[in-house]
Amino acid sequence: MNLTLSHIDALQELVNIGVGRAAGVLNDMLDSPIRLYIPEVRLLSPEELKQELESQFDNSLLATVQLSFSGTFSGTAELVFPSKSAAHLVSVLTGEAPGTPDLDVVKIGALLEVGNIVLNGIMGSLSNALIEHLDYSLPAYAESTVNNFPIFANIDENTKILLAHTCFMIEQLHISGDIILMFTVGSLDALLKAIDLTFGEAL
Amino acid sequence: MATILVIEDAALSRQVLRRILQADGHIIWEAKNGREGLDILLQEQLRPDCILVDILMPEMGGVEFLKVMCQQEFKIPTIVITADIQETTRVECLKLGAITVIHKLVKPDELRNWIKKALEHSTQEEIYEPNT
Repeated sequence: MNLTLSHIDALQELVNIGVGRAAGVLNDMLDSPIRLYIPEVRLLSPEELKQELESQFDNSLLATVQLSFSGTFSGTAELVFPSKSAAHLVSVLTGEAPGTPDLDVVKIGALLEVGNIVLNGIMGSLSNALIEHLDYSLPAYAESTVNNFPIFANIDENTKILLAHTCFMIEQLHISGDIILMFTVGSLDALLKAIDLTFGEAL
Repeated sequence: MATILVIEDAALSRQVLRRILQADGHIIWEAKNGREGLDILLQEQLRPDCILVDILMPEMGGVEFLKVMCQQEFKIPTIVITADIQETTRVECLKLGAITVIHKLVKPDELRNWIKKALEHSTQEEIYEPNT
């Protein structure tokens, strides 16, 4: 099944709705306006994906919350913060003064819960729109460079990955972050089929 | 004032719920997953007036917890509070006896309204339940 422009358009809209919902939740949490950017949807090889992400994040250390999902389609949703932004976000949530960018267990717990709520907001919107139930694994926190993202471990170089990527800014609090959805091969057809079924003649 | 069992793995969300409920004068028992929640009900034989339970937790999640509640025929009004906004999840929880499914971040007034309904439900059960 080929990824058409209509699919990309539909996916952009679905991700947009999900990110909008997640931004609403973040706004409630932080009581600050969230600026959103239009999501980009692309089909990439693992190497292309790595280059794409490296061009964005260089080789800097990132704080990530990952939520893996499976069902008719499967993959990983990641909420990615530069380390400083992560520390700042946690200090706003916990009411503690910002300290070092290093996060202790309590702070990681807070960041995990934020990631859980935000990523569930996005994936849940997608699931509800496509009427496809998804099972989630527990969210996981990691500090790593792009090179060490779990998606790149043990992945066949011929695999195709559907990347949906957007970012957000909380200007008042000097926090920025990225939302990256990666759908792995095999599930791609199922995802596109679900989009066709849902949007039918509209595509 | 009521006794409310909060089953939630994330400290941040437990803290939010604790603040809201304690401010209203409720007594809070806390468990970090479904297994710990069941221990309170089965081992310690304690009976809260109402239960708040998350879905995605380590060891035992909320759906499994609700299944055991059904099997054991516990009739304690249970509210699911989750980040999972899928309609399928909501339907499954309601089928398993949850009185409602609230999405995180829960708004204090929404939670208070549902706690009130849950406690009314709990009182009715005590009045109308046969053999009690």
